[in-house]
Amino acid sequence: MTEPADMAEDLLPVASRRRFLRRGGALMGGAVASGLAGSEALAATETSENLPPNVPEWMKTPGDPMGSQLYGTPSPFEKGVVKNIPKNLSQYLSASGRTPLQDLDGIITPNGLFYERHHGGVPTIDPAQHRLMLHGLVDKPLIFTMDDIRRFPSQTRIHFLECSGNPTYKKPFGKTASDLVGLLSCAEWTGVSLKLVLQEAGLQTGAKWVVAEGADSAALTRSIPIEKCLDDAMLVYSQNGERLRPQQGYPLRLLLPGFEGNMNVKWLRRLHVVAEPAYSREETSKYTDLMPDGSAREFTLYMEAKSIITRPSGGQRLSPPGFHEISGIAWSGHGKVSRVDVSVDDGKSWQEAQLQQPVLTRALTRFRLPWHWDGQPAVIQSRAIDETGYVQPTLAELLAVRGDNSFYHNNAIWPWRIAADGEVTNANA
Amino acid sequence: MPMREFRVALFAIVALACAVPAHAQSPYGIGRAAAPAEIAGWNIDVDRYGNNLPPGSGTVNHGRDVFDQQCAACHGASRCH
Repeated sequence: MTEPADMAEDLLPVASRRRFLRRGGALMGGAVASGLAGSEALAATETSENLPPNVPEWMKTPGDPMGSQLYGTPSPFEKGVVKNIPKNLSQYLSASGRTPLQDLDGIITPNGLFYERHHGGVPTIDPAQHRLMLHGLVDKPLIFTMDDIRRFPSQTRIHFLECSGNPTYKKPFGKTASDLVGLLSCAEWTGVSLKLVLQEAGLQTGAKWVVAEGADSAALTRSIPIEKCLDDAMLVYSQNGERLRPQQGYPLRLLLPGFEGNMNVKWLRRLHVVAEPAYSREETSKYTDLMPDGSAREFTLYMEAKSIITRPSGGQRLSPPGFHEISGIAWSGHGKVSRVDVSVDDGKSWQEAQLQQPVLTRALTRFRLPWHWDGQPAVIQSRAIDETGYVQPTLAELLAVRGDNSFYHNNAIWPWRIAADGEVTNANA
Repeated sequence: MPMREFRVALFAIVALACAVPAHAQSPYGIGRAAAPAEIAGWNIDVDRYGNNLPPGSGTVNHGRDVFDQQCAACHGASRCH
């Protein structure tokens, strides 16, 4: 987030580039916007010509004309706020990209920063040639076009999505909030209730599971309990008001609020109504939880209550001592977040944070706590409590029960250590 | 309405109701029927008993060899993601 903005010069429209060249100096990017940069660092990169009492140069000439961007993009000064993609992987067709949680506000993830996980690359699908097939234990097997799907009564809801391997149980743990739990995003989804589509075909006796399959080259397959399909499951075609991005399953995906991300099958092409789960690769070899005694928990579908402080958080620098708002996000696959506690003394005492309203079920919930940092070393952390009364555990509590063979469903508390110089690091690392 | 005419009308309504097929009408009438051949071409999931496997055969050892030769370079020798 602190790359010099002049690296973005070739991305600028001509008028902006001219101003950029005139200015000549390298202003800092996202670090300035975040307000967390050291004041000395800021002073060293500022030029005085745009500061009081001078009139800034961007007031002296007209700005870019209408139409210079037909699809808007962020300011070039925010070019460091991008998806967090692991470096030096042996392949990138089955990989993941994380949301930069520490650079975002509120509860909605912009579509371009929504986390990604694919198992066979991102297919380019012509919606006119895409079909959804619904068959198996139904009275009338059906095929739907995308126009058909959009003829159904629509609904719009806000829900989070989280990969269940977010993060793992073994060191090394990540440095930033994005490294740790960046396989998490939240959006407003529009589509049709899956229940309506299933009723169109007519469920038969014995219909207990629905096998959902993607139209990617992995034909990713997961089995969904029929109870979820008839509850709040949706077939989604729009995200945050626009059609799904290809990375999110364009033109159609499954949305299972509160269930692990992998089950929210993208590029959805087939729903097979069956009596038993398929026991596909993604629910046997993967997405089961190996316990210390050698047994494996299977179909651990719900994402349990969790929270993390995103500001201040790892990789940021707190300066100067004085007032700082602590802010973060909490969520639960079981419903609404009912409370978030924050500790600024390494877990010795806890204070109740303010929750951004409205608190929505199975959605991110933004929390805030005013804080006066005295400039001394500190450890800060948050814990979520959901409406079922469940309390987010510490990493030690989780490891004591599940061991570290388990790869999925780590919903531990993640404390941040703040040094005397304001540097913020992962206290569990 | 005289009682006799009422009975006739009632009979007609009951007869019409009985003429509706055993399966209820689709609530919205959206989508078209999927033909058996279309389903056969697209239905590629295999259950835990091995039903719906494509023609052919294989062994665990052969699978290990294929993985080593064609997959391990990217996915690693010990575990794949």
